[in-house]
Amino acid sequence: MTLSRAQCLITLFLLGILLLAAIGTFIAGPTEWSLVRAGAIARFQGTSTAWNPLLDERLPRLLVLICSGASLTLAGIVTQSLFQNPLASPMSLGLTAGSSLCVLPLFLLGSHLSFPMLIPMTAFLGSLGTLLLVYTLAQDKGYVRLSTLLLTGLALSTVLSAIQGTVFYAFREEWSLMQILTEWSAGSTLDRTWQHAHLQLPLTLVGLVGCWSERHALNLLAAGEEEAFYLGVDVQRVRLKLFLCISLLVGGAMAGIGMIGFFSLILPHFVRKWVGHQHEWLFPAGLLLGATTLTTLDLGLRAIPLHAFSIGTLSSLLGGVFFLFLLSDKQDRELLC
Amino acid sequence: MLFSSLRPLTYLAAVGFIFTWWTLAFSSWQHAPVKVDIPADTALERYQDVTPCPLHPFMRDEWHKALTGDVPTMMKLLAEWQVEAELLQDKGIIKTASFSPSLFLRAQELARRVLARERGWHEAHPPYAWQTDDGGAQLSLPAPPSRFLPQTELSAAILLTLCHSKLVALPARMRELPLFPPEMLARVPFDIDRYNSESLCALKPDVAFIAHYTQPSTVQTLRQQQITPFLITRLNSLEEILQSIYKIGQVVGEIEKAELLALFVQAGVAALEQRLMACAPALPTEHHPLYLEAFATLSAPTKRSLSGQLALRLHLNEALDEETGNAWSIPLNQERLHNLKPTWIVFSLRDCKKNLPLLLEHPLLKETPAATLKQIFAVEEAFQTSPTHFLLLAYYDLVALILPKGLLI
Repeated sequence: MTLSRAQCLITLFLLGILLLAAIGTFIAGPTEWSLVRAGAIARFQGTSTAWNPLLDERLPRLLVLICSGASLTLAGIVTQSLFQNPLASPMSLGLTAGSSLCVLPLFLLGSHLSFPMLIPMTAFLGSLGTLLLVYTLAQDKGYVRLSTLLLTGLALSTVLSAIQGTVFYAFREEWSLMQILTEWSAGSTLDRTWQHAHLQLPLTLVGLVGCWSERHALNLLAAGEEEAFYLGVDVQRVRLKLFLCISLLVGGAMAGIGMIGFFSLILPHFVRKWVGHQHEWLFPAGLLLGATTLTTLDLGLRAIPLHAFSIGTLSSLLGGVFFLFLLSDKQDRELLC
Repeated sequence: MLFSSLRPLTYLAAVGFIFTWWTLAFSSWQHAPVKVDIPADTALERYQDVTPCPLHPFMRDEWHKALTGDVPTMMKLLAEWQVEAELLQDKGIIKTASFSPSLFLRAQELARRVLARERGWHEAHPPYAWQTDDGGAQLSLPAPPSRFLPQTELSAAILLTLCHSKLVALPARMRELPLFPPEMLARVPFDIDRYNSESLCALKPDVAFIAHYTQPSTVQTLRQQQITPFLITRLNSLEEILQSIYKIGQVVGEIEKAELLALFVQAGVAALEQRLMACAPALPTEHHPLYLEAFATLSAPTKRSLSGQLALRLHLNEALDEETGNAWSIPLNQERLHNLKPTWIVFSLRDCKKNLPLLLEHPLLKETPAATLKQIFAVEEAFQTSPTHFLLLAYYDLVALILPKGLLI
C-alpha cells in the first residue's frame, strides 16, 4: 500500500506543524534567545556547566511531550485493534485508573521525592496489573468475549476511580497533599527535566518496538481472533505481549506528564480516517499525530496561559468536544457504534 | 497458561534494556548529604559588631508556649520585648516603638487579671458580650454558653488557647498539626467527623463556630440540635485574625485573655520588626530573596494568602513584582527561577527537615546563587499556612532565617 496524494499532504502538514511546534518549544521562553544559544554553545564547547534553559528544560520537555503523545495514541490504536472496538482505550479499560491508583501511595508516603523512579515503575505495574485483572475477570471457561472484556474494564475502572476518590476524600484536609495530587492528576509539563525524559524513554521505546513487531498480527486480528488463529497467529502470545507494551506506553506517559485522558480514545479515529487500517501505516501516523497534538497543545498553553487549564484538562476537554463532533456525523456514528 | 507462550529471552532483554538505561542515567544521581538550616535554639553569638544595643535571645519554644495560652510566659516575653523596645529607642536605633508602652502596660494588666482568675485568686468573671457573627447574625442565648464546638482550625486554635476545657471536640486535622502539645489536645477527647453529629450533639455544645465553607446541611443540623452556629469568615489577614480572637473571646466569656492574646501577637510582630531594624547593618545589601512553596511545582504565594502577606512584610519576592489578579500563588518554572538569580530562598515545606534535602537534589536549585552562598532554607508549612494566631510563629521562623545566626535566637 502506498499513501495517496492527500495522505502525503496531511503527513507533510503534520510534520511541518511538529517542526514548528518543536522550534517554538525551543525558542519560546522568558530568557533572551541569544543568551540561551550562547549558554548552549558554551556547554557544547565545554566552557560552561551552567544550567541552560534549552538543554536542561526545553529539550527534555519536548522529548517527554513527543514520547507521551506518541505513546498514548499508539496505546489507543493497539487497544482498539486488539479488542476490535473503537470505544476501547487504555482509559476505558481501566489502565489509567489502575496506574494512577498505584502511584497514589507514593505521593501519600512522600516517596515521590526520595525515589522518583518508583513513579514509572508503579505506573507500569498498575496498568499491567489492571489489564491482566480485566482479562482474567472477563474470562468465561477460558474464552474471552471482547464485549465482556470492555464492560469488565469499565466496571473495574469505576471501582478503581472510586477507591482513588475515597483516598482523595480521606485526605481532603491535607491541603498540600491535595495540591500535589491535583496537579499530578491534571497532567503537567511544567519543569520537565532529563530525569523525566530518562524515566520515560526506555519504557516508550520498548513499548513502541513491541507494538511494531506485532503489526502484521494486528492486521490479521482485525478479521477476528479465530481467523487470525487459523492464519497462524498465536493469539494468546500476541495479546499478552501487546498488553505488556500498552502498559509500558501508558506507564511511561504517566511518568512523563501525569494523567492525560482522551488522547488514546480520540486520536486513533483520526489516524484511521487518515491512513486506513493497516498497522504499518497506523503506527507511524499515530506517532506523528500524537506527538504533534501534544506538543502543539503545550505550546498553545504556554503562549496563552490559562490558569484553569493544564495540559491534561485541556486535552480532555478538546477530546470530549471532538468525540461529540464525531458522534454528530452519521457515518462516524455508525463506525463507532 | 497465559504466560506459557512468552519467549523469556526477548522479555528479559527488554527488561534488561530498561533497567540498564535507568542505571546509566541515574547512577550519578546521588543523595549527597545537604546541610539543612532549620530554626533551632542556639546560643547567642556576638552581636556587638551589628548593633550597640544588647540583644536578648528570642527563644522559639517560649514563643510557642505563650501562643498556646501560657499566661506567665506571655508576661515574661512582653516584659522582655518592652525592655528591648526601650533600649532600642534609648540607643537611637528606632525613633518610636511600634508597640506603645501603654499597650505593654495594658497587656501586663490583662495578664495579671487573667492569671489571678485562673489561679482562683478572684472569682469575678468578666461579663459576656453577645456578638454579631461575620454573617451578620446576632448571637442570642438564654444563658452564657459554656461548651463550644469549633469546626475550623482558626476557632479551634483560639478556643484551645483561651479556654481548652470548654471545647467538646476538635476538627479532625487539628491533632496532626504541631501547633499544640499532644497532652493539651488529649484533654479534648472527641474529634469532629461528618458522621458523628449525633455523638457531638450528646456532648451538648451551646455554640458551634462555623466557617463560610461549612456545608449548609451541617448548619441546618446544628440548628435542629439546638446548637447555635456562629460564623467566622474573617481570616484573610493578621488583622482579621486578631479581630476574630476578640470576637471569639467575647462569645466564650474570655474577653481579657482574648485581648491579651491579640496584644501579645501584635507585640511579637513589633518585636521581630524592631529586631530586624536593629540588625539592618548585618543584612546583605545585594539581596534577591524568594519565599516559595513546593508542591508538584514551585510557586510563590501572593498577597492574597497569609504567607504571601508575611513575605510582603519582609520584602521577600519583590523580584516577582507583577499583577497577580486574584491568584493565590505565582507559578515559577525552572527557567524563571534561573533568571531571577535568587541569593536567598526559603521554602515553606511539609516535614521540612526531611523534604528540603530532597528538594535540593534538583540540579537547578544547586546552581542558584542561593545554593552557592548556602542560603537555601526551609520553614515548617504547618505554621506558615496556619490561619491562626500561630502566624506569629511563622513570622518568627522567617525572621530567624533572614537574620544571621545569633541575632535572633
